Amino acid sequence: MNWLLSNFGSTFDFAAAGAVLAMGLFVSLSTGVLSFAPIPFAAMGAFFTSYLIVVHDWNFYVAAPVGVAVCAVFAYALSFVLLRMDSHYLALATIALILMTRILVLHAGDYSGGVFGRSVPHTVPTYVLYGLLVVSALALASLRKSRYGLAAEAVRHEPAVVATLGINPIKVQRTGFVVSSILAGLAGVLLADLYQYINADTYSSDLAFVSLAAVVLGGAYHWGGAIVGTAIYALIPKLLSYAWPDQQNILNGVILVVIMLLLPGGLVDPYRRAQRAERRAKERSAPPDRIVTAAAAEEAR
Amino acid sequence: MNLLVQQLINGVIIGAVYAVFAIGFALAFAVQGVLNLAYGAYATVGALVALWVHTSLGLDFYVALPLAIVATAAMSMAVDQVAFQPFRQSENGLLGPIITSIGVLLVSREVTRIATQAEPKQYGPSFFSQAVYKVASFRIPAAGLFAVAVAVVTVIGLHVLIRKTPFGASMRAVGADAVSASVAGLSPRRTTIYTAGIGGALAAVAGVTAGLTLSNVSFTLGDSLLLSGFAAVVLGGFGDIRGAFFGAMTLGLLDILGAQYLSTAFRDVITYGAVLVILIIRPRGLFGEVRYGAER
Repeated sequence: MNWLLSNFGSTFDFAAAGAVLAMGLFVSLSTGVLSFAPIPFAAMGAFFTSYLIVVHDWNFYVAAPVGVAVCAVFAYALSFVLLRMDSHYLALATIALILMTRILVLHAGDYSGGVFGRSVPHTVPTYVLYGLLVVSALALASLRKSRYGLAAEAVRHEPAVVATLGINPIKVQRTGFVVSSILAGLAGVLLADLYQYINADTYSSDLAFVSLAAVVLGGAYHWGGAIVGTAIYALIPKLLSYAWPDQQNILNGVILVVIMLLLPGGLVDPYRRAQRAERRAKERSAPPDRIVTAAAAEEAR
Repeated sequence: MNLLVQQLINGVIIGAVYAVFAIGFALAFAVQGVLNLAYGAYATVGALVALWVHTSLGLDFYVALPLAIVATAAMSMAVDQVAFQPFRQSENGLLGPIITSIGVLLVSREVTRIATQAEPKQYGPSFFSQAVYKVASFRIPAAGLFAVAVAVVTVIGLHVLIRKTPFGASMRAVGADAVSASVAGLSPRRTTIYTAGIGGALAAVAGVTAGLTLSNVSFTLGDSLLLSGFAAVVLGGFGDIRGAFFGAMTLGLLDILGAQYLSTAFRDVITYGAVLVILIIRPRGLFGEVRYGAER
């Protein structure tokens, strides 16, 4: 146990913060919006919070909520513009936001630390980090069961049908977008705290790609996928790096391709589980019982 | 006034480089049905293969470019079959291939980083003429002329290929609906493989011309091309070669004029800000969506 913690403790810590970010990506994805906006929101949360802490000597527990709230307000305003766009256009627009954020950070001088970046004091205890991860996960779990969760899933699959049922798909997506920015802002703050140093390149398009990869790897149809995906994507390269220390990036890429090919639905896939439960129910009671299958599918949800 | 014209020329040259790349990217999206984030890596590979053929084998430009094209086309076809083909039967249509393309991007970037020892390189005068022609008082580098010529030939050639030939018809059919295309007696798989090859060839050409016009070949060459190419395709609208061409030209001009008249430091902010504004006004791109390739 001690060996495990001393070797993987920090890997787990980064994975915990990364998982919050991945959940942010997942939330907008779960309303059918492929958006990389969580990355600029992570940057916004991190730079705003660290500015308050470092320059104005604010307490972390006051500064962080303010930083995250700023993200939410910005996200709400931006959603009116961004959510009008179709999928690929929105993906590109949010990648453009990442690039623009980078340059704004570079030239914001004292507000961001500019080209020199900013040192951030490490203040978050481990239990708070994992506590926030659990709280985020619980929040998403309860959202999933809520009216909003049902609407989100419907919007993802059939926005036209949802609109005919009198639910505004854009409104559902806006809620998802704001929730996603809150998680992302929080993740940005946590990552900054763990790195203890942030600059314009900390929240890059590479981070966006790797986070999205973690979400889909873990399973893009359940919030647990974001956590499992991030953990796997942090641990496997770490383990393999003992065997091949120099080829980490190559291994990351190969792992990604192989897992996606073997498990196209991701590791946590409620639909596959539902199908399996259905099959098992069929085997148990032939001829197949419709009520049992529906119950099994409901249970797997 | 002279400065403006000179910068317009520079913008057209940059736009021409973007155009070849953007056309290949759009083609991959329309026919292969993949938002291929590894497409920039193809351009890097093409540029580096050409450099390697020239410096290590001592062969000149007219051998190096075709070899780079062949190598990159082969890579593109192999990646398509290994990383994208398995998703074509499944429901995870759009997201799965994006992820595997990220995987390919990571691998390819690392391999090219190791191969170049992360150092920026140049083609040099023995590879391609460094001449700069003077027309009136305007300077036009030979590499720039080459880039523009290649872009024009590519646009016209591909437009004719797609609109006027039987193979082009099968590309459009497969792009629109692979199942119906196979019912009509076409082989979607063969068409897709050939299209992947064409896409790889275009990426190699774009990579080499980018290396020539920017006088810089490094393992990150493709990353900036990918973003510009993506932006150009978004501006011009997916699904039409001419749209991608005009989108790329617009982007090249925005790039150069923004840097000249507004701010060099905020160059990318201006370019992508303009793209964002255009998307806000026209959420489906400048020219709307003329689809022959539907989402799959």
